[in-house]
Amino acid sequence: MVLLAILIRFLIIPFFYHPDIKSQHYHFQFLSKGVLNIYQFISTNKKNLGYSDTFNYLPLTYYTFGSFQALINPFLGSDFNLWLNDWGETKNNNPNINFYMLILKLPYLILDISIAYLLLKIYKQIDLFYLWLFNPISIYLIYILGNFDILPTFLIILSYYYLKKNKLSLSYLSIGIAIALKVYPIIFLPFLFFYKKEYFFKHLKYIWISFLPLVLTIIPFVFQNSFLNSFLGSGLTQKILEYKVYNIPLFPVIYTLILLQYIFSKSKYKFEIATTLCFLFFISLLNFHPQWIIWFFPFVLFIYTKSKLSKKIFYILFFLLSFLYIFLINDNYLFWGHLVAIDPIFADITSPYKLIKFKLNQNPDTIRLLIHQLMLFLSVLGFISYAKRK
Amino acid sequence: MPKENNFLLLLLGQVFYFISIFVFIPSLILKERPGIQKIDYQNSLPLDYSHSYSQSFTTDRDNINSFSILFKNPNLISKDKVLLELKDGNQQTLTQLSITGTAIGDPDWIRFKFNPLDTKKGDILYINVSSDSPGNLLYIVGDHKNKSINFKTTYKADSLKKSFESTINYQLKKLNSMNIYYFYAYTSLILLVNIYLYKYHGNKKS
Repeated sequence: MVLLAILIRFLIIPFFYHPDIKSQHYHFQFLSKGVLNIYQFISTNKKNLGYSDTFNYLPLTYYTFGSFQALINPFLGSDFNLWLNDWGETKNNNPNINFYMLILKLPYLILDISIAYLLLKIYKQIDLFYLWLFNPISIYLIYILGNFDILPTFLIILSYYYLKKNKLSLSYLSIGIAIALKVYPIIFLPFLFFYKKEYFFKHLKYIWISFLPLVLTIIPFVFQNSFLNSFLGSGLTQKILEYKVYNIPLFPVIYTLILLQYIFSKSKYKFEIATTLCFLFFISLLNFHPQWIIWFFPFVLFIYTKSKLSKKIFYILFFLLSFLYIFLINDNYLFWGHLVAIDPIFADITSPYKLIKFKLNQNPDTIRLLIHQLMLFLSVLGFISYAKRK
Repeated sequence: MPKENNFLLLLLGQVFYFISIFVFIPSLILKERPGIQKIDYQNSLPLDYSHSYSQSFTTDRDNINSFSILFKNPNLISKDKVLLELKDGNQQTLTQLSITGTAIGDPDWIRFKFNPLDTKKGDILYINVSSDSPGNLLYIVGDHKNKSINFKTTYKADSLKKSFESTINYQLKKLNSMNIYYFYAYTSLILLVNIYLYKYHGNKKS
């Protein structure tokens, strides 16, 4: 079955594209050219760069994927660098784009299959293992969106695995590396810390490890404006705070409630329930980017396998609404644009957003708002349901 | 079900998948394809009434349905009118269009779209651009010496058959221009996984 899962992935990987993979690797290429401070380099050379956007990720991401690119570069040929640096009319026209997709996404395949095995080790549930391997959502999130969020996701699950094994130093180190790659895993940190209330002081002894990789990797940059401007411009913090009621940002309040419920919960699956609830509210309150779903998805999938039919329908409905919301974002690269590796003209096809706006004369933003409100309603129902069960 | 049947189904599924993503889906979705274009001129040429431009080109597909011209409207102040004509080799007008400066940015590719015309691959066509206002402040991007301008064209298949033809032609052209070793590497990879699947499946059965 694993071979079949790998075959399916090999059939998908080369033929689906999202421009993020190109823009990220555009920045990563500078490491092999000797650029150690990517933030300063972009700030200084902005006018001469084909792609002038800032590098919005943390230094460890740059060093990790920059090293990977340097390692695989000999297999990709000189044409690869031409493609990376082409941001003009022909940016999607390279005939070798399918091969680049295959090579650049190979680490994701290793991480994806490793996650399946980690889930099997943690939960010892073969149906979850198969569900991870054959569900279309993770395939879409990992290989069609092609973002590197799968690496921090893998590290979060690894961290949870070590937590279950009572290896706290390794657990905090794993999540620490994840945080140093992308800040979002910090959402999971309090759930690790309060996993067993009786081990509070033991956790207190080790939690500093989770900040070590981040601190060590950002120290050289932290006082530089180029780093602060690039990193703070990434938008996650603003998005977390953007949905307000009476000027109070709602997500932090709900997150605190979920955490309090988690601390006092006696459920065997409290970690999975808490992360699933976080996911439901995160997605239904924030103007989310689809790749963010993968952060929580392994735990949501576990809860799905443990749910009764009615709850399963609830999750299927929630995901259907989430994807409807994604496809109505005014970005053709989240719909037809995924197929530009097949034919670059797909980038110019009318997106669902424009189809609704110009052909049906409806406001797609209003429809998205309605979908989001419906998702929020479902999230509240989910929260009440799990709160009742303690 | 015998293992051969299962494996055959899997193989058929893969063939169907490849035909779908390379032929069926593009043919059904992509009716319009880009054709001949000239995009590398940098000079701004005046568009007042004493200057008109005629750009000839040989069509590389049937049924032209749009052309685009690169304009400049410095400081976005011009509201002047520009007249455009598409003519055939006998200087017969195929379509006439106009635009005012209010709809032109700086710089701005303006696309003029019309119903697919009954033109054939290899026809010589002319794009004529002119203005009747003396103080027209708009510019067109091109080359003064050759009296040539930047332009793009698109063509729309008027039947499903033509759409399939142009999709297959595009995919074959892409295959010819890609690094053939990459193609071999990927094909070998898929074959290898299939062979392992077949072997594993056989072992499991026995």
